[in-house]
Amino acid sequence: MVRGEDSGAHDEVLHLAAGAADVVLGGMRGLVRRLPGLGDVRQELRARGELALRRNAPSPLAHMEVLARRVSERAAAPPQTARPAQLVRDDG
Amino acid sequence: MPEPATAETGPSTAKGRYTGAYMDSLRLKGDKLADATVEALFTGGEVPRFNTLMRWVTTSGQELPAGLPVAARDYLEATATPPEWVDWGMMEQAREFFIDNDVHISTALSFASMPACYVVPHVAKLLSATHSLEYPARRMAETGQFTVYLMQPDAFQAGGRFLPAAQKVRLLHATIRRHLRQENRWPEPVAICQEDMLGGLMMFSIQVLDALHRLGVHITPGGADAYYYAWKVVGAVLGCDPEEIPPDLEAAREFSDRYMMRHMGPSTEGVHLTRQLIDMYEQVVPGTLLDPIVPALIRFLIGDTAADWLQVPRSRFDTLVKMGPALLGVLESFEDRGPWAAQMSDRLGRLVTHLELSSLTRGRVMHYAIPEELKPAHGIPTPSNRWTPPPPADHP
Repeated sequence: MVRGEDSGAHDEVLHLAAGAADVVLGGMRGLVRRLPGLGDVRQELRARGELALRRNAPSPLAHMEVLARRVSERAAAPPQTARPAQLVRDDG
Repeated sequence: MPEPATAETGPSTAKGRYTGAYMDSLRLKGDKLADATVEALFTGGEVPRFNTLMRWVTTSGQELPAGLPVAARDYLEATATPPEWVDWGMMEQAREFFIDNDVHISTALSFASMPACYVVPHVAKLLSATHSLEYPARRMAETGQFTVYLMQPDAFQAGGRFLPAAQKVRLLHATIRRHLRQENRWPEPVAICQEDMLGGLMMFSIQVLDALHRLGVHITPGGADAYYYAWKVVGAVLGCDPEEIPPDLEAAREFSDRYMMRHMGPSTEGVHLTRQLIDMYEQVVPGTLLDPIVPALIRFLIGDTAADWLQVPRSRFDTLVKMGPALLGVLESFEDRGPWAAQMSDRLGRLVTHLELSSLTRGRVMHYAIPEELKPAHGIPTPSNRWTPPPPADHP
C-alpha cells in the first residue's frame, strides 16, 4: 500500500515535470516558428519606439520660447504707432 | 524699466485683464506692513538686537523672546497666523501634489524657475546688487526651499517652520527696498515692487506647471489648481496684496505672460547668475561626464531664445534630454506596476529632491537676518568649493 502510494506520488511529480517541459518546449517551438527575421525585428522596434516617443512627446516649443520669440520679433519690428493704453481692468 | 503700456501682443491679451497701465501701477507698490516695521527698526537702531533675538524664532507658536522691539513684536503677532480665507482641504490636496511630484517640481524650480528669474534683467540686477559678495543664487533658492517647508504636514501649525521663515523673508525684502531707496541705487521708486513679487510668484507656480508639462509629467486639473492655490497662500504670506494675486490658473497664465513679455531679455547679470547656477549643479553631479546635462535641461525647459540670452552652453546632451519625457513615461508606468515599485521610485525621488534643493542652499540653515547695509555692487567672486591637494613639497 505504502509502496503504491509512493510510486503514485513519484509518478505525479514525473508527469508534472514532463508536462511543464512539454509546455515550455512547445512554446519555444511555436516562438521559433513565429520568430521574424532580424530586419523585421528592427522595423518592429523602430515603429514601437516612434509610437512611444510620440505618446510622450513634449509640445514642440517651451512656453517661454513662444514668449521670447514674440519679444524678439517686437524688438526687431519697426516702431508702431502707439495705441492708447487701456486704463481700467476689465474685471474691475 | 517697464515696457510702455502700448502695442503688446501677449498670448492672452484677448482677456485684457492685466493692462500695461495696471501693471505699471503695481510697480509703485511695496509691502506697507513690512516696510513700516523695517522703518521703525532702523529708526530706533534696533536691527542688531532684532537679528540676535530672531535667531531663536524658528517655529510657529513659539513664545516671542523678551526684549523684542515693539514694532517687531507687533508685526510678528499680526502675521503669526495664515490668512483667514485659506481652504485647508485645498492645501491638503496641494501637499499631496507636492509629494507625488517632488522630483519633478524641484527640477522645474531649479532649471526653469531660477533661469526665469535671471531672464528678467532688473530681477537679475537686483539679485546681483544685493548679494554681490554673498552667494547670489541663495535669495531665490530660499524661496524655492519654501516648497520643502510647505510639504510638511504641519507647515502652518504650531511647530511648523513655514510661517516664521516667511515672516523673516518679508522683512528682508522690505529692508532691501529701504536700502536701495536710501542709497539711491535703484532706478525706480520701489524695488521688489508688487509687480515683481507677483511675477516671482508666477515663476514658482504656473511656470513650474509649464515645466512639468514639458517634462511630460501627467498632472490632473485638480492637482494643478491645488498647486497654484498653495502658491497663492504663499504669495499672501510673503506680502503680495491678496487682492492683486491672479485668482486662478487662467488669470495666472495671463499675468505671467504679460509680466515676462514686458521685461524679459538678455543682461550681463542674467548671464553671470546662470553660469553660477550651472557651475553649482556641475559640482553636485559626480564626475564630469554628465555635467552637460544641466545646461541641456535648462535649454529644454526655457527654450533656445531665452537660453541664448542667458548664454546657456549648447552640448551633445541637448538632443538626448528631449528623450526625458519618454523616459519619465516609462518610469510612471513602472510606478503603476505595484506598491513596491512606487515605493522604490518614491525613495529615489526623495533623494533627488533633497540633492537638488540642498545643493541650491548648500545645506545651510537659513536665518534670513536683516542686512544692516548692502554690499557694494562689484564683481561677484565665484566660490570654488573643491578642495585640491596641495602641490608636492620640495624635498632636498
